[in-house]
Amino acid sequence: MTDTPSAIRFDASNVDPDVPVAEVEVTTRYQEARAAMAVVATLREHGVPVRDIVVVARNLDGYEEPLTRAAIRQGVTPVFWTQIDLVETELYRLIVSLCELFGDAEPDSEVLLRPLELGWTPNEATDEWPLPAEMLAETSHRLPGDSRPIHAWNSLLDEARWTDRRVSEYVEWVANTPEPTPTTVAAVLGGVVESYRKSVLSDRQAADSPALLETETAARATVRMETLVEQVESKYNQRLSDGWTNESWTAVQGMCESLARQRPGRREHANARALDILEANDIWAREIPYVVIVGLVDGEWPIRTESTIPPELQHTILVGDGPAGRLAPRTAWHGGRDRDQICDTIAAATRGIIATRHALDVDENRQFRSPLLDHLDTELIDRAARQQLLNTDRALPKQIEPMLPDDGSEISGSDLDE
Amino acid sequence: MRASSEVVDSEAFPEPVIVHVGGVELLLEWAEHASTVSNVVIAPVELHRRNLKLRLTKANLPLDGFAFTGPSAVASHVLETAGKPTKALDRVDRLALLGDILSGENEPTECFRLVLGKDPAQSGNAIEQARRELEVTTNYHPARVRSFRQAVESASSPIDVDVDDLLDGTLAVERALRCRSKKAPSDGELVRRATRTIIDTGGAAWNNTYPSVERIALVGLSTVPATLVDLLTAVTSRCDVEAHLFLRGGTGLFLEQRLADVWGVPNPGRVVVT
Repeated sequence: MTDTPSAIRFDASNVDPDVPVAEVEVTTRYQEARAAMAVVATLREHGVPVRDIVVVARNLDGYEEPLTRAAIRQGVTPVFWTQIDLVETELYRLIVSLCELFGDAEPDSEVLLRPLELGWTPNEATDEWPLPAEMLAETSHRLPGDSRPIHAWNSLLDEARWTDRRVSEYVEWVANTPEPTPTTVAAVLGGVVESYRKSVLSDRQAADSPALLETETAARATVRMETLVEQVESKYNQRLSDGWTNESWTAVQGMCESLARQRPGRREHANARALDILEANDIWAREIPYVVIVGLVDGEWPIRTESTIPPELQHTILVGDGPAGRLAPRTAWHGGRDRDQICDTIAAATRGIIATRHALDVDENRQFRSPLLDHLDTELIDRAARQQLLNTDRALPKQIEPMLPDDGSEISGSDLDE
Repeated sequence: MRASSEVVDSEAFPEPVIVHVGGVELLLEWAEHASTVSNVVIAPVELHRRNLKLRLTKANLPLDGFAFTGPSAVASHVLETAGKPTKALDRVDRLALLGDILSGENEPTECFRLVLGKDPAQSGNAIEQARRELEVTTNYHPARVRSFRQAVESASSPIDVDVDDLLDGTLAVERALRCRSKKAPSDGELVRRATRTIIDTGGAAWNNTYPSVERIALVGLSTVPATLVDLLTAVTSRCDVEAHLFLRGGTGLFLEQRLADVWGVPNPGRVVVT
């Protein structure tokens, strides 16, 4: 197989901004986050409105925490437009399926067993939990197809000889669920999240690939669900005292659904003075004066794309000679998505770009400059200027100064909500 | 830098398909005060829809003539208008069902055990990824599945055998998913159903859903899945609608060249598994 044949070379000429690019190299990821936020704070001191600045990472997972810390230190309020979609996570489904079950006077077996399918686990788990798929399939197969009250399911399962102990334990737990007051709702749902954290997360971690991507998502979902349960409790409390709702699990389910659909950090009002922090895939078609790009490190951006198709066949499909021509190529196989994302990030800037990277990872392994920077004409910020940027009486490095408007009166070129 | 979108010479594309690389300026020019929607803009990434609305608002342009939407929403809309079911399994549902299917002894379990070399019931994510990649590449269309097998044949051993198992396993999983659930197994399947409905009704299903629409645009993608190529083929071949692809700066020129052959399978939306 030839290396990078011209037929699948993505166009590099597009990675050619018509605004200046300053490059900052620091030692660690934390320093990088501090440098990025110092740039933001300094630009603001020079009169740049916060809505005219955006910080972009290929993947926010590794940057959310360091950027938050650095932002707080610099007195900047960050808004993370993260990709995690709570509605699509197993834990969220589990919570909603439980509300649905509790709210159903006569559930059928599908509604009854759904929480088990989604990984329900008792608080003090001794047996193998969550219930294995074969056991679940067998139980589902044996149960009658009609609907009945939960106590009837409970006695049916108690009497049936084939019932697995774990299934009875679960149905008993459901039957004993208290009436939905705000306090009991928070206790029941909070308990479910806690058990999920204890059992499913550690399971997942054992089975997951080295990158731990699934675990990462599940862990983030757990944190988000804890917050959501708190929000539900307070909203439910408020609505009950305002007489807007009755005590019911269906109402709780509705609140879970509407709260989960709000993206974290969504602006409450248009003039909120917060700094947008985006993932690179989301910046497409935006126009913003100052773009700070973090994480320009090989292996982080670009990142190797996972695929089930062997590289040799990927190559055949990308080149598309003969019968393979009919097949739609996935450009991420050859770094296309990373290339697009850097192009879009660069194209978004109308005044200037500050690109940052770190030289060492947490284990002090050398991190290399992203090859995506190879085609860019950047001005490296020297050591002295970098020090000054990070000092308390910080100063804007001379490589960034030319990006400021001449007369000092910043005209907003931002496309944010006005 | 490509500061403005440029229309690429796309001779190889069927006539009503127009390719743009890099910018969205032309799309913004479509804005007009209107009481009806004349542009359906399919942006699979949700924030991209918001970004386009921001650009329009910032330029003081009206949003009325646009419907900003996603692929499965378009498909559901078409199917709903035609009186057909619109429910599909999402990833979470599908992974739960996959675990169930793959814990039994059956064809998909057999295929995946060989190619993955471990218990398929524990490999739901890998199988879901295979399913998605083959769907993007072939849309399960008989002609493309045939082409895929031909491409596999020319690969060296044991890749040829492994990928054949991967394909057979994935097709068997699709079949099993269809049997297990009344819902469509995936959003992709909804799009295929909508595609077939448009073809079968001679375009009426589309025209009834979007009576005033003149253009359909697909934006913000680094990979144009065969699923969407076939949907656009159905619309442009049966209706008086122009299709526009707004490709991105890094991959746009490559895809413009490469996609021409992907276009235009006979009977778009048809699947090899029934």
